[in-house]
Amino acid sequence: EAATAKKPYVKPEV
Amino acid sequence: MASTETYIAQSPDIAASTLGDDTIIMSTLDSTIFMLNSVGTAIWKAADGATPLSRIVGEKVCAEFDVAEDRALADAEEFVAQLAQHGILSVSAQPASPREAL
Repeated sequence: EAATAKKPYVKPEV
Repeated sequence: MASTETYIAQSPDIAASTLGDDTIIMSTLDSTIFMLNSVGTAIWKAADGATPLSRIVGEKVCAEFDVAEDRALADAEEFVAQLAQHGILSVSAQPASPREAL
């Protein structure tokens, strides 16, 4: 269940 | 206190393909190639012209990635401005009509 993990955030960029 | 919403839509003059978590976009006007990372791809995919940017950030970016909403929104606004500058994304204060959004 811990399915609920979020991906690490990276700043959106081109 | 009403704040203005931002609506973003993909330009019709592009061809885009997703590779894994990233997206490659080619402008058909001058064949410039752009590559978006995973968070950029999440924003790009949701750019239907009818969903406000704040909702895209809340429902797509914050739901999928580990980030605070205010930071994600600030980054998204900067990112959207960059794409608009390159002409591959249009930014509007009004939602696109269903016909335009297609």
